[in-house]
Amino acid sequence: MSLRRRSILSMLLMVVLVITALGAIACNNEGETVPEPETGGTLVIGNNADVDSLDPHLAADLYTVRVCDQIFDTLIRLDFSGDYVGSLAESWDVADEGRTWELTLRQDVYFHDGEPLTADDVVHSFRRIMDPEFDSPRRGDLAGVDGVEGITGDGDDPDRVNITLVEPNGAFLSTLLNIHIVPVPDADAREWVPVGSGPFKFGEWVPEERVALERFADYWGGASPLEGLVFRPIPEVSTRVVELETGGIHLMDEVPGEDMERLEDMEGIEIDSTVGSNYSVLGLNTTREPFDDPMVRQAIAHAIDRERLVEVVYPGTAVAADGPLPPSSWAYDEDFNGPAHDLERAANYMENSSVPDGFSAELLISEGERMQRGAILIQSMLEEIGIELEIVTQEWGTFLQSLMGREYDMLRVAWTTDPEPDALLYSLLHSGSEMLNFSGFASEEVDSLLDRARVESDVSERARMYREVQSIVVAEAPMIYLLHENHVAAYPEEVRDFRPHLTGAYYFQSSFGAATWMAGD
Amino acid sequence: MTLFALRRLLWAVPVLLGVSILVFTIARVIPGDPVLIATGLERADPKILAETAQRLGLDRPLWVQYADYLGDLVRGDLGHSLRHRRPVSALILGRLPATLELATAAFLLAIAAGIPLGVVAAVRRGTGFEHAAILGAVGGMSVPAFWLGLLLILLFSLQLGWLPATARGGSLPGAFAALLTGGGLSPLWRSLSHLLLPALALAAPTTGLMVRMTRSSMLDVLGEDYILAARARGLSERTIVYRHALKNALVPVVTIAGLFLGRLLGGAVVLETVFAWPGIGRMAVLAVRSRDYAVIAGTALMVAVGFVVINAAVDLVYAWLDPRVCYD
Amino acid sequence: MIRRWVAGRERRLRPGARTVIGIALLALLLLGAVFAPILASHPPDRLFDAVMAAPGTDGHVLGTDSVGRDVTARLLHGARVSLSVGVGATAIAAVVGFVVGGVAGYAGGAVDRLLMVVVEVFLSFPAVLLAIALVAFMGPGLRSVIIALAAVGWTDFARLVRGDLLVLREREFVASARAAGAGRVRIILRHLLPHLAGPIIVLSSFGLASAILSEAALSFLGLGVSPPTSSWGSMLADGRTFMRVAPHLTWIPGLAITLAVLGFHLVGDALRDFSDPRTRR
Repeated sequence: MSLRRRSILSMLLMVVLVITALGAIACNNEGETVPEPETGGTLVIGNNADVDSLDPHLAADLYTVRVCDQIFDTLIRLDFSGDYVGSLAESWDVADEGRTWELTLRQDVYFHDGEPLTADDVVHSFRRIMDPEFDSPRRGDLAGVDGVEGITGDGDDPDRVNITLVEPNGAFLSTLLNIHIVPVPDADAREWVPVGSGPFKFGEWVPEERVALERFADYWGGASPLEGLVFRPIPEVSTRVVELETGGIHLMDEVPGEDMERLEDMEGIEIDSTVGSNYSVLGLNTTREPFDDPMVRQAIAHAIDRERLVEVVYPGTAVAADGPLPPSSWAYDEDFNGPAHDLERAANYMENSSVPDGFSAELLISEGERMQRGAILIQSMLEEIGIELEIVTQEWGTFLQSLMGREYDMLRVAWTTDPEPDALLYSLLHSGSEMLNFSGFASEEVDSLLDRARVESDVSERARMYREVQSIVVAEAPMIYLLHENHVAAYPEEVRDFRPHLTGAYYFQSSFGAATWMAGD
Repeated sequence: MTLFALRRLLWAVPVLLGVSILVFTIARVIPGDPVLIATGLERADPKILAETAQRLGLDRPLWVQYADYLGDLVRGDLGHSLRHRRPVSALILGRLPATLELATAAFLLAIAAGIPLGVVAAVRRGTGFEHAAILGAVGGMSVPAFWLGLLLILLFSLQLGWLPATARGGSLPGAFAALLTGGGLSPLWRSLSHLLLPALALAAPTTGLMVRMTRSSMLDVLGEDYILAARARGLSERTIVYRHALKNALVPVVTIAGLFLGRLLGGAVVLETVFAWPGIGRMAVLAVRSRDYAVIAGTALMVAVGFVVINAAVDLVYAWLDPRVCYD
Repeated sequence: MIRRWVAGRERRLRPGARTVIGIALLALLLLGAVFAPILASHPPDRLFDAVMAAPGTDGHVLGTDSVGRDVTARLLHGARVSLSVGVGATAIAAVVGFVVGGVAGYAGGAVDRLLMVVVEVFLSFPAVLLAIALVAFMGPGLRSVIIALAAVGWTDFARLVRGDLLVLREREFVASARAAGAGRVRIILRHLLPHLAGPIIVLSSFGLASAILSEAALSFLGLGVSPPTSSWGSMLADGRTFMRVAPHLTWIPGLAITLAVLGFHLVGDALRDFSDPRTRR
């Protein structure tokens, strides 16, 4: 027995030695020249959850969209710095005072089955999402669309698509980021199949095990150096990290801050992160006492130590927020400062408020270890100014119901969109947005700014208006902007030229800059 | 005996009807809107939510929805998943094999370790060995399942690098088929290497139960008259233990099989999450989270049917093994 | 071989060694829970600046947790929470089970059959789904967890009580009590309950063990007690994010749960042997 164990051990040791030696040779080679992308290799990605469906028009959560983004293209994408870049649409114009968007489609785009992509496919995709019978979770995205019209180009002319809106919307491009283009189905097609025009084509889907994709050689943006992608759902974050360390996966996102430092120190593991287009808020129900009192809200804003919250709960994986506009947004204002952590000022506000002796209230959170820790910190911070919080946890589905029904005193929630300020601000702050304006905030000035910014087409003018909204909202404090979470990716050093995207999506294709590839192997 | 079997199965009808009512009520009284959860906070649109709920019939009185559901059920239709847009029966059938494979492996491990330990603990009653066996067995029952799973992963996958941390390595029956058709050993090894850790974690509490029950039933049997008679006949202790007493140790094994399957989903829910095992336990939890009513109900019904059938079978086997059980 | 086994019996330990271990573990648990405020050198909810400090730093014997609370204090106060979950859930389950099983077993006939269908429904319903759904319904928290675990556990008590009653009610002393004019409730409480007490206590001991483990599983799924309260289960579940960087945050509550559950099992075994003379040897 002991003999056998010893021989296994020595074999293992030898394997380790050989691998180390090979690794050393590889490293030496790399030190001298910048390595050329190699073709081949399958990138295995640890995803937090399995896809709900491979039909992009049924996809709503990030983990499904991540996979659909590989198989299907959208008309427009966001590049790594958050700017709009053409994808299937080569260029776009606004006509009719912002009411009509004219998109010119890229030529020579083919679906995985070899059929060319035409304006008909784009029109079909829009109509499919807008069809009430189909019940797409994205239907709300296109609620402002009045009609879609395709114009087939003659000869060398490209196809074009005109989208008419119910009312002008300067932020409409952000909607197009979520609309994946699927082909018009064959008349005799019996079952829907995931055929798109993206850089990878569908291989197989074993539910809860993996989605395997293969390189699409005729991709319009150039074939990926990667032979394929495999998405593996691994729900438990601690085991996802082990899989990364043991080579079971080559890429994971949402690395916990506590593990990040450890992984950074590990040989052969790379960590890369980017500020996400999201914010996490402490929402105050301004329709309830005493949160209807701006003094109370200001007191809370100054009592919260956002830096401490980030340091303890999100070490290295978030940045403290100054306002609703994250650094990844084009309207971000780096000179703008949020309420300072100042207990004296906070106490002053409390003294002059309707509840000078303090009060008690409930803080509603959804389940999750980080939410809980944050709540405990917030509880102790507000205790300093005489506010006694009771933490109430609700399961996510129930939490959503309470939020929409404004059945809470204070709550903590995160809002994740693309960096378009309209998407970040309108639903939560416009008084006409009955369902999502959960703090009950109503300001004519903010309403008017948001409405005007939406129809304005000049970007710098829009930025100015959104910044004004930001300063009003931070001063009025219907919600306190706590932090922006980063997208933190970890991968072994064999994975080259990968960049995390500010929306948490994955892009490996060269049309986004350098194409991801794998060295060695 | 046949009559007993028939009556035992007939008993299942009101039970399953009750289960269907219970699951339907429970699924629907949980606050939360499945359509809203599916679209997510960022896309919520009150008009569309209301329209969708109406089209799905979620705005009708509960009893009308239940009557509809029961009608479909009688026709063998478990309904459609809101989240996956697929028939619930297909979802369950797709994930059931993984759970059954894990459960079978865990049960076999529990038998392989539990029965010998239990027998020896009984025969060597009062020794240090017995104490160690019982303490170990009960200790195994006392460790929280998810923690045990994580510790196994840290030890065997990360430290020693012997076994993969998560996922299923292909179906085990499939791997056996490959072996028989000349596909070699590697699919079998792959499948087993992924199966071992979750099966160990799932087996721990059952092994403990098995040791304790085997031991106490062995002690019972060893005190029976016929064993004393056998001793008087001068049969060797070994023959007595293995030929006469051990047969009766099968009784608790059968009982535990029923208990085990009843509690199976509980362990599976947690361990399938830890080990990213593609079974119905994980599906059930996700269904509750997304308020996917048809999937919650379908899974619960399926487990209940399994439980009722297995326990009927256990009662029958029990009656066969132990003639003292009367068929009433 | 056999002779060696027999010889081995000479080296037997004291027969009650396991019982002694079990009682010692439970005594420790109880002492910790009762004297938590005295034994803990810090209040359990106070936040210190040092987050995830290793055991032994700055007067924190077992270190601090992920928000800087003293782990010793959390552990001692957590014992109270875990015990309340176990005792609360088991007590409710025992009472409900006793009433349902008592009515079924004493009444017999159609009432019995109807109630047994109800019991069987709850028994065959996947327990974990029932618990998750109930907690989702009521919102995570101590009260919800207790109710959910009671809803899962009462069937065992009902079956036990009914089974024993079916046998007991045919016995002479019941007939003589009835002849003396005692009412049904009185017969059950005065004459039958004492006979049932032993088995119920034994089952409660195992019920407590499984409730503590189930609470940990619910915490793992994010449906345990609500902060700032924490049970051992929620400490363990929350600590798993830091298994690699601060292992004491899982080892301490993990071992505490394991030893407590072990204690209840061992004491349960002892009680069973004691109350059922047939297995007492």
